[in-house]
Amino acid sequence: MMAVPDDIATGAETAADRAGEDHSSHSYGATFWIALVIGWFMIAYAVWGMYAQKADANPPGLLKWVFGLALLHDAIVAPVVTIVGLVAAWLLPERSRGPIIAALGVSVLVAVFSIPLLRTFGKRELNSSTLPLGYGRNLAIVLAAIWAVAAMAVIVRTVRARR
Amino acid sequence: MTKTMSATRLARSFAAQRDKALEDPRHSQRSAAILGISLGACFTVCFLTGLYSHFAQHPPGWFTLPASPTGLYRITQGLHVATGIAAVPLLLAKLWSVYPRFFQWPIAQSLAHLIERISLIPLVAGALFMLFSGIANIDLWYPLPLFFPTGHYWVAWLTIGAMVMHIGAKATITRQVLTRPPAAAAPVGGVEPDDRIVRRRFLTMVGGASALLTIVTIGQTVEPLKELALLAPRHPDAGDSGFPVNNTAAEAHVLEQITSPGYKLEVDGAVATPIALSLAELQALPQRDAELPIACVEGWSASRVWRGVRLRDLLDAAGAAAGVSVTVHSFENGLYASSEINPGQAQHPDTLLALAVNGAALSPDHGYPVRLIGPDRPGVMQTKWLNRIEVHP
Repeated sequence: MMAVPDDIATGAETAADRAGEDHSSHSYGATFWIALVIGWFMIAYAVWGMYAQKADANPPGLLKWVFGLALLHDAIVAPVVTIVGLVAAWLLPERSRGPIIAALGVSVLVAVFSIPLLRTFGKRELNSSTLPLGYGRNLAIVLAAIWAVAAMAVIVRTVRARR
Repeated sequence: MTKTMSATRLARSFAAQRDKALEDPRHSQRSAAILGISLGACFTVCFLTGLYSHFAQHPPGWFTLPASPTGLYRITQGLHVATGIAAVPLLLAKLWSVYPRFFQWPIAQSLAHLIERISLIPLVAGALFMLFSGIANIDLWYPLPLFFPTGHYWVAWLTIGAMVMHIGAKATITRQVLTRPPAAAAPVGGVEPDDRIVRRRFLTMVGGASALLTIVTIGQTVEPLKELALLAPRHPDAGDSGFPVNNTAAEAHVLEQITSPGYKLEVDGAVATPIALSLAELQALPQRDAELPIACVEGWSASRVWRGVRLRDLLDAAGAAAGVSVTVHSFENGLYASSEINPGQAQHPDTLLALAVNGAALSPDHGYPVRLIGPDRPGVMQTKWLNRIEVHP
């Protein structure tokens, strides 16, 4: 009889699970193949629709944006975020590392989200209800709130560690 | 020779970094599964509410836009935009979480695995496009070389198709990693926090970012939260007469026609007696009040009290048969120059030819002299600057 390792016997998550090699063919059952057919059918419908309405959808321009954004993410955004994360983790003291990296990430996200508002790309001279707020001031308030939460988290951790 | 060796060493060290990253609980299958389920729920809500708006504006034969509940369009489209915004941190976190797996080598272990990985291309590309194009659109920013509703609609089918495939590929593993207990606690006295704490902190941050973006934008449709709408592209109180305007009279080039002294609203088509009424004659008819939202597909809305003539009263006055459908026509040109009203909506007591809002006559930007306002209609189908009501047999 074979010895069963503890983690398998208990069903607990193992390092191998975390590393996540899930490519063994046994995980591709009927669900996978059925979903595959339905999914590709929907994709085919999407491509048909784009070309059926090509005057509005402009498929070449559309697909350039669709795949361009993915390329931008995978080739630029993700590596930059990874490197910045590694550098920040290396520079920052352990206790403040998590909250500062989290605050940095959320701040960048909110700032990027606000770019079209700050630059007022969509402001229309003849329509006062378009982008009506003071977005610079408002972004500053949101960022201040994010960093206040991060500062509180650092303080709480420091106090807890001293006890 | 040396070059080949150093390239091999570089590849090995890269692979070692990748495997080290995958040991991190934030890159674990459990994190990916939790983020994936959240994202799947958001995208499903976005897809269904998006379809609802699509059917409302381009009704297929089997679909009839209901007249009640009154706020259905407002709720579905507020939810559509809010859910899309909340999905932004989830999507970025999910992509970050699984990014090390992007560098799996060899690329695939089996044909099924290869197909699964190829299916990720439309999924990731489509998801990024849907959120980017949607947010640009609510910001009234149009950088894409296409008509937004058409492009957003078809890429939605592409994305959801890819999502269905991804769910099929991941259903088993997701169930497995979520039903078994998480990894054992950290070594006793270890300085590194427990995996569960690391994962929980990461997911809390992601959820917090979603909540934050929701809080600072949802006030554009949930009026009690309007003071918190710091980063919303519209504000329910901002605009002519104290609420937003999609398209102003000046932008629509209708100012001259709507202020003409000879203005008449015509009711014709399948009626016993075609009629043409001046503004004074419309004002002399029985006036009704209805509190109805003006709700935009862009996720903003504002509820106001409208006053005017019931559409069904006017149809009766012209001798239209019961249960007719109607097209209202505007002085405006272009895509939203007219809109269809199905029999159920035309007969609804709250479907008004509004002459006033919040106790004051309509301003030019809100549709002077007469606009349509009815329950559960997309904002662009609450047609302004009416000049003709065409009754269909």
